[in-house]
Amino acid sequence: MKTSVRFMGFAGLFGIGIGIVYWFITYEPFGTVLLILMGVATLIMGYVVWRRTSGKSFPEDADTISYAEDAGDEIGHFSAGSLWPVVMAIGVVVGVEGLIYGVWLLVAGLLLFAWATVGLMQESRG
Amino acid sequence: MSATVTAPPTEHPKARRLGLIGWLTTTNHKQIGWLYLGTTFVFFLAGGLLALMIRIQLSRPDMSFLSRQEYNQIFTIHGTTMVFLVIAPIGLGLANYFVPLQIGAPDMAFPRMNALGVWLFIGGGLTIYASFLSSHGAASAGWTFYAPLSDSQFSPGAGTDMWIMGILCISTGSILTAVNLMATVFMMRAPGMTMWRMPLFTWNMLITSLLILVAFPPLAGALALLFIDRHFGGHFYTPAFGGSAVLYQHLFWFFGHPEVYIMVLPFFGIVTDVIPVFSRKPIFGYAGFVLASMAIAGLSMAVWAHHMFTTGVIDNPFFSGMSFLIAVPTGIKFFNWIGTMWRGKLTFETPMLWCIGFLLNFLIGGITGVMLASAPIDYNMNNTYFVVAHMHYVLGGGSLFAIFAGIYYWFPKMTGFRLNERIGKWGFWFTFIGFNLTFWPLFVVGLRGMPRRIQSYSPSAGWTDPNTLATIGFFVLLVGVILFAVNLIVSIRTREPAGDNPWDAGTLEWATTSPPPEHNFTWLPPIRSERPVFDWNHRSDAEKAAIGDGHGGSGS
Amino acid sequence: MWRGAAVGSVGLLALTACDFGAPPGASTQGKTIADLYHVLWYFAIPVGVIVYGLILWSIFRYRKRRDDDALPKQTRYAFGLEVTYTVIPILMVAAIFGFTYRAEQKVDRVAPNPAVVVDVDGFQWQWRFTYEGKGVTVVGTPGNVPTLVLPAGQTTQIVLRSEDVVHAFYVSAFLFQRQAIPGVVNRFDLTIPSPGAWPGVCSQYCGLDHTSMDFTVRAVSPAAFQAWLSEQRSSQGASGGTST
Repeated sequence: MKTSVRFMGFAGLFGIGIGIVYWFITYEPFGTVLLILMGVATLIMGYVVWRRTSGKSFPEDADTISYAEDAGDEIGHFSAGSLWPVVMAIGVVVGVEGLIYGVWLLVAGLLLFAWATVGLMQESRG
Repeated sequence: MSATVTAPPTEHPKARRLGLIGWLTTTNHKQIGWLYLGTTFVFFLAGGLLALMIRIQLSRPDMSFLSRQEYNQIFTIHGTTMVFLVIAPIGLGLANYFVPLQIGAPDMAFPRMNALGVWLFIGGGLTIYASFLSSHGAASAGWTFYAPLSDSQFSPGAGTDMWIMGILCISTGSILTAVNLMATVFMMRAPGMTMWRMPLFTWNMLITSLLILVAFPPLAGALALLFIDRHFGGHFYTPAFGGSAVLYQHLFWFFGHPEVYIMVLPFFGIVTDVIPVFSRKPIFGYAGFVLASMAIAGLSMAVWAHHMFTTGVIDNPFFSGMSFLIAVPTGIKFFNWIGTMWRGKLTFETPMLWCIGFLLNFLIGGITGVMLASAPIDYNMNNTYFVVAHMHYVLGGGSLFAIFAGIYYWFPKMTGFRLNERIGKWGFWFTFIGFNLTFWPLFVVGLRGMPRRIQSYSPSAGWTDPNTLATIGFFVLLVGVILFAVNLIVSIRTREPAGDNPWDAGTLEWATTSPPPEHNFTWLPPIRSERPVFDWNHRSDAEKAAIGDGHGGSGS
Repeated sequence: MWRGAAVGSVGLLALTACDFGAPPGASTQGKTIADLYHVLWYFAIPVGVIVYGLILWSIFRYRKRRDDDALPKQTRYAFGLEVTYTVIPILMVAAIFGFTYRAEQKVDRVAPNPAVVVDVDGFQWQWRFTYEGKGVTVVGTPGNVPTLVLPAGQTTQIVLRSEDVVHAFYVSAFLFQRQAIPGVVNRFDLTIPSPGAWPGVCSQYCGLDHTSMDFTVRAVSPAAFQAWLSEQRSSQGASGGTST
């Protein structure tokens, strides 16, 4: 996991560093803000991963390991299929058309979106 | 070594046939990968049809095959299709299918979000094409959509708004998929699959995902501000009220430049997986390649205003310098690929042909890119057909060729049968020759001053012959694409079984059956390098004795 | 060997005369750009020859022979080589950057005392040229391409603005373009050594009739220029407006 954290750490520091260099070369505000915020956002991601994973060892990072040592862990729950993603997507697409063609479409879209959100949450719990 | 190593399965699970509901509700990464591939193929044909219309219109001077209105919509949607609906999503689709397989995972980290991503992409694409039916027709501000041209005063009509909304949906889908890919790669690798043993397609998809995460939000912001200007009385981009037209360019290109690397890095990864297989050697300089990809990604965030050299309001030397620097890691990759082939034992099945074509084409795109990176030279070439030729060489001659390499390489794994080699080779040659005949003349005509996005030109401009040659070349290219479609049809009819590993490849996806079962693996070889399947298949006699020859035995 | 060297030198000499498809540069700024473009080809050709050479060599020399199934040496890396092919390109792009920087300083320089200042305004879908302090304005109309008349051998400063969307003033013979952005004032110099006439276009897509936004630049001797100015002044004065 060190590699992942380092990857995002370097990317984040690079963004901030280049942003600072950019400011003192060009004094251009738009690009400076974009670069520095990009660096900060990437650092935040790296920090979150670091906090969640530091001090733990992971079988995928082990140089030599046998499958028997790692057997039995449940990696996660992989659903067989779900209606809610496509319903949510339809809600989003219909809803944004509502911003163009009329509030009634926006309402329909939001309703579908809400329905899908509830559906997804219920699925997760079950 | 390992305590229990069971054998690769000898029985092949039956493929599940999905009905319509099955496809609409699937959350399996392989089927979502198929959804991406199928949809992007349709969009590719649509975008190609638009390109055909453009090439017919420009084949001779003063043609009126297309009116100005039609022409402007067509080149806008052609660019939008190829950028947002074909090249980038194919990368995500192949990543969806193969990243979990390449790292030994049973699926992506968030299967339902994965499905949401593909449906948002499809919905956004349909929205953009539906806009042709709106009252003012489709958007016609160019795929770059500069303000104030794209503002309501100059581009009234719902078509422009539908473009904005479609792109916002697609952007959201891409961001969700990028999150999914990063989480999957970080947290779901099989035991022993350290980051530095991952295949380079997976590495590049990880890096691409980070680029997507930092590049798409500024685009969404740019378009949201535009929509506010258009409909809610905003003046972000109107200078008369204190806004800035240059702001749009900064926001757009801060996205736009990483976007072109999003459209190229996945395909560098494919080529880097394929060339070692057909050279019978490991990739040369694995670590250098990974670091070069990271350098490209990082630098790509700092060069956006090389698309703005002619605005007169940015610091040209900074962006020239950074843009020149990007040439260095890209060059390193070329040496990785050449170093892999060097002293290898090369065979030229269709996937390898496409890789060679990629190398030859992308070099031209790359060298002309370095020329464009020089701001004074860009003063001459910006917005001329020189840039059009450059971008098509890197995205068409580069990414598209690498995509074909990936499809020919992975088709046996995805379906269990092979694509026809003979048709494949004919298709390659028609595409390669047709592509170069179409786009090389555009360099010539760009240097003679032909600007982009013009609907016609006069016979006295001196631009006629290269344009006619380009249109002829396009028809040759078309034959190549048709041959690909023919190959699909013929191969599906013939169903020549491919087996689990027809290419003697090394990465994990080749450890499972063709096609893979639902949760991908019933058996994994030990992972000790970046080519675990190769290591397993070519293990020494001593190792075989220690483990047992892999037929249900257990070792020490 | 001497014959080879002779052929090689003739080839190289021919290369120095080659313009690689670009215009030679009818303005002094354009000539600087054309020269820089030329220099970049001196980098591009060796890179192209070497890389294509290596690829084609590999394809032909390292084909798998029919019955040879042994694996080749599985070389994974070569640290010295990798460092070399990282450092050399860095040096090359540093050199290219140096050439670029110098050329750009020359091209972008705006002289403090130009002989003529012309306000160029782009609008959908034509151009207006206003000669500052001379009382002359030239406007293009659909179907009637305006001519920007300038004195040869002297420096003209162009002040470039847009009245609506982003346009760009591009003259291929001068290898030069600059965007006309609403809210931004761009200034650049045109120094045209010899008389002539060259076509110009709008190179930033600006809507429906972007294709029609052509203009012409004509350089005439300073005397002819003054004559043209007075002739324009009197005809515009008589008709009470601008001429096309």
